[in-house]
Amino acid sequence: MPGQCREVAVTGLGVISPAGIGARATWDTLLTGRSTATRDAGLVGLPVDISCQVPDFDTARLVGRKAAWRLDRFVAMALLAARHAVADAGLSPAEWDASRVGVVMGTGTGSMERYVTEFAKLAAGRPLDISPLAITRSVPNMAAAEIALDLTATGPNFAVSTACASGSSALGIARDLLRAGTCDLVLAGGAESARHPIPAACFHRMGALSRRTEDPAGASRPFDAARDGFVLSEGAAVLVLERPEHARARGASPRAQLVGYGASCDAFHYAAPDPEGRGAAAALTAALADAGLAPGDIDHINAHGTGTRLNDLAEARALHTVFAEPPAVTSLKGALGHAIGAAGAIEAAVTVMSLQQDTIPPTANHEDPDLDIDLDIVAKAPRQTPLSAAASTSFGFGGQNAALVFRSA
Amino acid sequence: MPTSAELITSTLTETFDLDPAEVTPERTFEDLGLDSLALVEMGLMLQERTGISLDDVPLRTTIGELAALMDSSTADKALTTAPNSSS
Repeated sequence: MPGQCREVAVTGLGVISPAGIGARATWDTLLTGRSTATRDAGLVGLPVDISCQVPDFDTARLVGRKAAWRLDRFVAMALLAARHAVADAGLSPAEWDASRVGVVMGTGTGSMERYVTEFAKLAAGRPLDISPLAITRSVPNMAAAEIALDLTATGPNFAVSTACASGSSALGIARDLLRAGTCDLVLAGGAESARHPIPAACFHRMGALSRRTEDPAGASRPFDAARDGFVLSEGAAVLVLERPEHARARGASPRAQLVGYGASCDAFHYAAPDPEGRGAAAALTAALADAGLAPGDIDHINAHGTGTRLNDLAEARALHTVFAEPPAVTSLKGALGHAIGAAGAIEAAVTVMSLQQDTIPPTANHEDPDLDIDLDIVAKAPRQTPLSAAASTSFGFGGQNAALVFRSA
Repeated sequence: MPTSAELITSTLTETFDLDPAEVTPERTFEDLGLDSLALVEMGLMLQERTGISLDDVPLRTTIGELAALMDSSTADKALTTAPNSSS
């Protein structure tokens, strides 16, 4: 059994987002500073009928018809992101030791659309028309299970559900599997497609969604004084995490190192964050300690930054608690909306690309700073600046928090 | 209006990515690599297109046999719904 390692290498990225199919496409779109939010034909008739949608995501064309008939959208996105990540890492599943390859995928809701579709048959008095695949298409573990089936990964296989922190939590748990020597490689990330009337109506009723429906592209405004909520989104991201000696042995060049992970729970309220951001600060402090870094070593925060009034203020307070002077902050949710269980993984992938490119993408729609927040928000244009360490934060309903720290390779 | 055999063939080739050359009347669903769950899904897809309920079709059924079963179901349906058919 290989010994313990402190850092793990990030050797591959796969990103499927409303900004494009592929990590590079997503990065290029983010640098433009534009929002991807548009009217959503699937939400017609609801008080909030806008979302950020992955463009041209045709499962049969992108994933192949062989499996498309049994894959709901969040699983198909997870599968495509995993294939991209493995290709990006220069790995060949035919050559790896499958028993040493794990998969950990986060999702917040699974496939709510499937439950609703099948329930409609029950409500119409047609119980025998319910698909025998209603469960396997929709339950949260199937993103990880289908990735393992597609790529042949017979090591530990887990689903993680910590609401909007799911993707980040999955990466942290994957990191632990590598540190403990349980796996050589773990494909980890998150996937979600909750652009559906049920979650849309629910989030609206909670007061969490932006009501700026007359201006979809201007609706998601993280840390802006005029922010009024998030925009529903979808997507997936998978990172190949690898034991450093395993990466070296095969001559792989890491994109970055994952050096720290911290998790906490507010234990404050079932939906609202602790207003002082105590749980968020605890997760970030734990991630920094885990990384062996001081707050002053962090050059950039890829924030959770949903654009809800409560989250942004609580997060700002958390950052002011941890940092004497918080580093440059961006929130991708201005451009990408909030992809719930996939958000943390997409943001982690972009944090890795920021470190590689020494570039922080702008926060879309950040125009009028909220004086109570007092952060150095990167807005309007990308900021080029030397980056050696960066953190990505994610916070879920239920007060579940995760923070990741990456360092340049 | 496609025939039952054409509907089965198009479902198998379009949804399950089978080679049209493979989908011949004498082949069974087992031969074509479908498992029992895939067969139920295919039955639901055909039901959506035809209204014919296809429960409990064995994997060893051939495409020709299923087409015949659908044709007879269509005929039964036509009889039971035809005007004055029961008077």
